[in-house]
Amino acid sequence: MRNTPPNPRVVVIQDVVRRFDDGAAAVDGFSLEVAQGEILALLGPSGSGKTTVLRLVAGFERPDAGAIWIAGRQVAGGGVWIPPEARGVGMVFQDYALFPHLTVAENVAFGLRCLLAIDRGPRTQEVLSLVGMEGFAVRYPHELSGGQQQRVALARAMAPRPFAVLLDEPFSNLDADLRGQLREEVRAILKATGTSAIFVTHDQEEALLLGDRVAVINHGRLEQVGTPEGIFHAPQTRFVAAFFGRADFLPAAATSHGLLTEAGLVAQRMAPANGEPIAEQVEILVRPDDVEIEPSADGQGTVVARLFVGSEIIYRVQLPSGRVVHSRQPHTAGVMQGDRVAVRIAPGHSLVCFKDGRAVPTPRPPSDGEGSADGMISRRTMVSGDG
Amino acid sequence: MVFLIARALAGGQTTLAVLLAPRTLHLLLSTLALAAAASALSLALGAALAFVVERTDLPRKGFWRVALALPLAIPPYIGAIVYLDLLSRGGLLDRVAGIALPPTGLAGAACVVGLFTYPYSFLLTSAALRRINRSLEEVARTTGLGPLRIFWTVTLPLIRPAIGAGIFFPSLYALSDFGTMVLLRYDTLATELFYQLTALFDRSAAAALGAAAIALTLGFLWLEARLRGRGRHYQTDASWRPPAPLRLGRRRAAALALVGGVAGLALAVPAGALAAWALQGAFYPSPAEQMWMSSAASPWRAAWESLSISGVAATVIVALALPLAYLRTRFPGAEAWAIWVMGQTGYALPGIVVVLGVAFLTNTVAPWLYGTLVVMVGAFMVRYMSQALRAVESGLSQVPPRLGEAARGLGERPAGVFRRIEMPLLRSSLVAGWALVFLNVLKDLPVNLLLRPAGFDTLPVRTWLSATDGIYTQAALPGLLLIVCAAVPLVLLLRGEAAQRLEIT
Repeated sequence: MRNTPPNPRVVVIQDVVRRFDDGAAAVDGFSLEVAQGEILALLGPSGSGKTTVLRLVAGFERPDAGAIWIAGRQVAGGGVWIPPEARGVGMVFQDYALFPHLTVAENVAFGLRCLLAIDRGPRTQEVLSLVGMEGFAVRYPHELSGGQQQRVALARAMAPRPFAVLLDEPFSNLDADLRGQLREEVRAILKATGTSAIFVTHDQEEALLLGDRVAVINHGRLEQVGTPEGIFHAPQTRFVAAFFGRADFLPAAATSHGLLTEAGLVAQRMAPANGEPIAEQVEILVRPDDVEIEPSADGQGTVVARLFVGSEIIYRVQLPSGRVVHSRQPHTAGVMQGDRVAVRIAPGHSLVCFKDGRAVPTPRPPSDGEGSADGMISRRTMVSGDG
Repeated sequence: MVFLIARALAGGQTTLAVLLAPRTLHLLLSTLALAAAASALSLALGAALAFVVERTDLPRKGFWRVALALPLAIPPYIGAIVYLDLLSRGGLLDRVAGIALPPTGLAGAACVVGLFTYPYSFLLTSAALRRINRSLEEVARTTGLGPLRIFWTVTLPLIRPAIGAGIFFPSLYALSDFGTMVLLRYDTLATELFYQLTALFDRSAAAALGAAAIALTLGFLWLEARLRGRGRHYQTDASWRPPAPLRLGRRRAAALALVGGVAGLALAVPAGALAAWALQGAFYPSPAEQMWMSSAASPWRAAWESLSISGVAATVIVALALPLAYLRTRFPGAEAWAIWVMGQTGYALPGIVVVLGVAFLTNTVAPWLYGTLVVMVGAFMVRYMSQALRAVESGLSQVPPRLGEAARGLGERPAGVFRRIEMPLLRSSLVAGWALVFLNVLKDLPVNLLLRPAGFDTLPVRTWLSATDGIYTQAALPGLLLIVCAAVPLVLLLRGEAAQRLEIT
């Protein structure tokens, strides 16, 4: 399902620039496309410009340069300006923005002005039952819980059958249990109705779980866009790598034998340039499941923290240079804080290498043939839990 | 205001002479003394009552909340009339007990102003006390502080803005209320201004005194801003819980005596006395009263005129405040801010100074407008626009722009957003702002008195003229009507949730 080839593009954002009042760029040459029926997660830290991108698409802000198309029609850029009410997109706000003086049904029916009066009721009922809120039609927003308000906001956005639904941090106001449950429900609803959606989040787990594709944005620029697996396994920049999960970076020298780090040699060669392997300094991305530790009195690492998270234990290990790597061990592991350990990097797949913050192209898989595919599958399992 | 200062400067020598005269210094000092004494009394009464009503297990709190706020409907000059007649030589108290305690001079004036302005600090302090989250005081408890220390270190700083405003309002009255002071024979800048304007017609001197009054107002504003501080530490989140009420126990009788006594003196006595005199005047008129009655129009007509000018002014002012507030909250910019500041100072300025400025302005720019209702409404606008603005703005701030965006995302045009989303949500704020302006225009003495068209004798004018002629019984009916008319919008304001949002009534 996730990797279906893109159908007609619903939203096209091209080289859009949006400046703050002081001239600094909030969104800086941003381009993105969303396919019909696709859920795109726009992921970035706070202040990265992700919400601005959403508001540009919705029409609440005007781009200073670039152009935006929705359903094949240009809505902004090149002298064209279509106001938000004529764009045919639905928006779900972080605080839901339900109209406090209208009932749930009236909120949902708000955008149904084009329908005949006789058709409004059934459509309202239809979307309300879609989100499981059919019994709450006559309630007022303040009588609903956060999760219920969220559902109503989604129903209201979907009622007029918009070309796309835009969701701004839709789950950030909910507590953890509810968030997990609603994420799945919202994804199921969007998929069942074939609704295209862009949703903004700063939570990488949420982006991986919900998005058919994930676009990572930082400082108003697109860092990388791709499938959740693709981005996780092949981050193109150090920023993206650091943003997904726990990530440590170790300097390594690329030699003909492999990557030489202070935690030993990793049997992985760099892609040969001009037929010869080049010896150069890179940084390798090391995740906790890539690092093995073993108690050893003369080991090169010291355990500086032992984080027991129930199903597993994360060890924080300091290397001679003072750098720190994390290692994931079974919850039965007995190494304690302060112990000396031997550190070995044993990824079972090729590691991503960075030079000057960008990924070095196509590292060749290790020649001893450890199946990298297995590694990928197990990683996918670890991250999303739905593998 | 600018016009007035320019006029004062143009006066040159005269201005300087007036400002430097020992009399001016004397007036300045007497005004400050009154402001200090009246604020102290008003604040002490208001804060104590607020604490008793909000923080103890006093019975019938809802009743006391309204009863203790209702004296706002009674302008101090009417209070002054009542107590003058009751306490002076030959008054009720003299006849019954043989004691005469005329409420004149500094003590009398301070008592009257304090007694009829305490509702400001009462309402503000109550609102502040209600907003404090119990957890704040509980946290202080866990750090090992005693209740008294907590009051000083936690509660007091939290209600400090309210206290600042509580000092501000009596001070403004002390500075601006010439009506009360003329009746109580206590000379302040405002009374001098009034005499200059009505008796001596010395406009240069008036302008100079007006400039002095403006300077004093700005001083009070500065003081209030200082006390208000930077904090807007209001707790309104979902976890809010009211603090546990203090058990009164045996102190209950004392608490009841306090709230009952104040409500009696500030509300029941004036209303009762006015009602009694009105009846007396109607059934047993003295010869002087008969003369007066025959020469003056009926108080009912005055009531009608008062209600109509208040209604018209309130409607015009709120209608203008709406776009201004909209501009300021949605498109904050320098121009909007300037308008807002001007509106604010207009409110703080003594009414008689506003009258002076408006009179100068119309006489210079459009003399043919002078003495028409247009000028009156204009003066009311200068005085009370800020209240309408504040009401509408607080309403608008309850309507986050996101709601409008949500509506536009659903295909609604901006005009439709205003009609379907913002208007319905603003309605209660608009009504509150309207009621507030209505109430103030109704009570206002300077504009009603000094800028009225010939024969347009509203209730304050009728009350005032009868009282200054010394025929208190004839002041009673219009005074009573005024209080009743003012009580209606006031109760509306106090009942509505708007009262809490407005902070100021």
